[in-house]
Amino acid sequence: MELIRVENVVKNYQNTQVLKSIDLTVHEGEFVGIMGKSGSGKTTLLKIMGMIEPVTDGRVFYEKRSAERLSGKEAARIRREELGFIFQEFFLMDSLTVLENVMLPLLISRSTDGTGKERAGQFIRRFGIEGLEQKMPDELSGGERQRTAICRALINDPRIVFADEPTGNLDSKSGKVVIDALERINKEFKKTVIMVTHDPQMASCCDRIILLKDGEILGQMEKQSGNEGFYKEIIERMIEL
Amino acid sequence: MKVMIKIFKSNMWRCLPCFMSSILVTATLFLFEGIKVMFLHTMSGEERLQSSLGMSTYLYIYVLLFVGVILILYTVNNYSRVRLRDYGTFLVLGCEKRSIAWMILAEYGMIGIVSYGAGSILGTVFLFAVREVILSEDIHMELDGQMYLGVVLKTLFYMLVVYVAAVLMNAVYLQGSSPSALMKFDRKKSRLPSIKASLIGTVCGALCFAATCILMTNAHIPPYIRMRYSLLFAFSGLFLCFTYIGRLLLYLFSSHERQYYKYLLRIKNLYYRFVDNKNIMMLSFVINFTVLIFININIVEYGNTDSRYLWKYPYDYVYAVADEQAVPLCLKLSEAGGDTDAYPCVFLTSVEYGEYIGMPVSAYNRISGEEEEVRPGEVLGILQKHEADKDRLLSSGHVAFETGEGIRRFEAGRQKNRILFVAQQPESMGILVFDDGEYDLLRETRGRMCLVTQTMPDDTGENEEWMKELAEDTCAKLFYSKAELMLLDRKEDNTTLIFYVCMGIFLMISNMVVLAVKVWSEIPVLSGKYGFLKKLGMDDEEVKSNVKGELSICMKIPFVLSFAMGMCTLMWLFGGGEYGFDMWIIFLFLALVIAQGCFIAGTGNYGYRLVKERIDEENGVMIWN
Repeated sequence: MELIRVENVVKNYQNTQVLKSIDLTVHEGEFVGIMGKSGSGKTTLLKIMGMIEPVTDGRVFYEKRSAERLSGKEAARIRREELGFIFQEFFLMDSLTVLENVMLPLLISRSTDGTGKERAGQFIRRFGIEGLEQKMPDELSGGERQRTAICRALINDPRIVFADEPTGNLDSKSGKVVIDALERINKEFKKTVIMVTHDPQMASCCDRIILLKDGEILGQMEKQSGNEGFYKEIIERMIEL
Repeated sequence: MKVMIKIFKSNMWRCLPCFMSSILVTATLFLFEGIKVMFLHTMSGEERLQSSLGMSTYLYIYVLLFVGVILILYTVNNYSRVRLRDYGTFLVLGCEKRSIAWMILAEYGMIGIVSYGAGSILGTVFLFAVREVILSEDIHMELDGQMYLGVVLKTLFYMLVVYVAAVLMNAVYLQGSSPSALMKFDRKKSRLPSIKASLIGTVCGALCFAATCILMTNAHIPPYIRMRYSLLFAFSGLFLCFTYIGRLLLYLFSSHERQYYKYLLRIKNLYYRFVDNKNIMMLSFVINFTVLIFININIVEYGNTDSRYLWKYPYDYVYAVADEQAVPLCLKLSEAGGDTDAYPCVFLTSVEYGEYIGMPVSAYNRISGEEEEVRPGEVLGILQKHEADKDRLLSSGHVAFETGEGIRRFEAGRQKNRILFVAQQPESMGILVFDDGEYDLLRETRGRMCLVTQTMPDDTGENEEWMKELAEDTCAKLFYSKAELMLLDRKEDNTTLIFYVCMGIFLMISNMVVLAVKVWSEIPVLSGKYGFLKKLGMDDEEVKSNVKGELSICMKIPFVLSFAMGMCTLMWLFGGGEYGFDMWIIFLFLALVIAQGCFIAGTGNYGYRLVKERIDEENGVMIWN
């Protein structure tokens, strides 16, 4: 089932064209990776698909509904209830505890029906940060912060999780934990995951890779074999980028 | 070096709050230092100590300096946070600490010199404008070149102290921090007290307030000591409550889990904003509260020219003349109309050199309408002040006079405050009431005098010159004209009012500037935070109310607290006093509430617009882990 469709999307920042006529469709349950060099427009594309960045030209459809026709309130509701975001810089609120940070989307929508705390606890246990619930973000390691951010992205049971270089600020060990977590999100929780990454190892977990170069889609890669085979394929294609 | 200058130039706009605050403080310090010099020049050394205005001028210069220092240090601190990060980058790139130190000195030197120059010019204009206003009220005040130079140098000294403190503060950070620590310096972390500390702190704060109330209501403690310790306890209580009570309330609220999580985001955001700004809020509260009390007291005192206020002067004219002059004087006064009366009296100097007017108890009962009895060897001490005043005439409880038969000692067991014929400030006249027989003995040795009083209900001052001539003709030892005394009082009230209103306006403006600068400095932080929360799905209305709430909390709390407590204090001060709690106060309160309320609403709205613009322009990420 088609979830997001991007049609002829162009994005300009002042006089610089970051995206040039992009067409892309993401289906439910997919794990899509976006790869490209710095400045190729991959984060901008992710933001546009996540409805947190307007387009200069072209159209974005969410479940066949045009994003530009959504009211501000409706777009906010979709972001709150159907989309989850994981960022490279974690973005945890330093005035809230780990538990409260995980519950942040519920706090925004004020939809704490009494089960919110319990659900947050479940995610915290699943992602191995139990015992840290009452800690403040500045008391956590990078990996713990990113896992907190992942729990936060999942608490509202979103349909799509957007991850912008989620291992960019982590060491290899913490990065591995996050990769495993994202795979679980896709396989176990059946969520659609769209991830921007530089890391071929991480990209090899995806079902499909979109290769971006200078704001244009250079090509797509579908996973045919296991992670290792796909990893080698990605390495080979990366020379083109 | 060229690169450094270029970077500094590009940071010029960040210095704007520093320039603004320094210019404002210099101008105001200049103005008040000038007024202080002019006022004090008109007084002798003793008068400066006795006059409440003289004391207030000294006191308020220091209050002003304190507020000014806080204002400048605050803006400088905000600027430093950004600059220290740049200095860290220079160090990483291989710059020596010595050249960074020179750069800091040059930067702050430049800011200080430019703002001092601009502030002095502005201050001079204000000073001469205020002097013109004062001169137009027929109050003579000098300001010669030497005095002006003194003002220039003193203001320069104050500003130098402030800027040396700012440079030292930066030097300490520079010396004590690694380059990487300096590079992260722009982020300020909030620290919350523990629950245990909050409980102890709140209880101690409540005890301090209780101690203040006990002190304020205890009439046995001398007023000055009472005021000093009450202020000390009140400030301590305020500091403790501001620091600890919020954490305790948050903890108590967390026990209501459902409601807690429903409003958690808003409450925690507001609470953290409160914690970050508690010192500035406390300062703002103290300024607002003080201004409300002082301006209101002075305006009420100034505005009270109706009959309630005339207890000070029960007669239109009062003469003290030799006994033989009393009858001709009374005859002449009766020609002018009105009621005339005469009371025997004697001018006395005690062996301790205290000066009094002596009166027989029969005359006292006649003038006061009372029925007092005084035994031989006893004296009734009357201080001509309002009965609510706490001053007493004979603190030793006795008084002694030389008579022809040696020193005669009188016990002063009973004393009271009462206006018999005049209450001229600052010297308050003391009256001693004797047994009639003993008064006669004193009168024989001191010479016979008579106190002649005249009441003319229809007098509009046209008889004043004639009355003065009459006093000269009868060689009166004392002559009081109610109209003249009231005019003198009015002039003093006028001067005091100008002083307090200028002071109040400055404090209120500086208070608002501090808060506006604070709001300005919060914009990047809030745009970062709410830009992200918007991405997570917070809708525009929610963002708007949260941003406005966070921006205005540091204004709303001191504003509401100062108005509530100010109103209570004024009711307590005027309730049952001689002034009465009238419409003036309510009117002024409403005017100030509206003015400050509009300012808060305007600042909140303007701040939100800036945050919104910034969120739209870029999604700042300043306060995130």
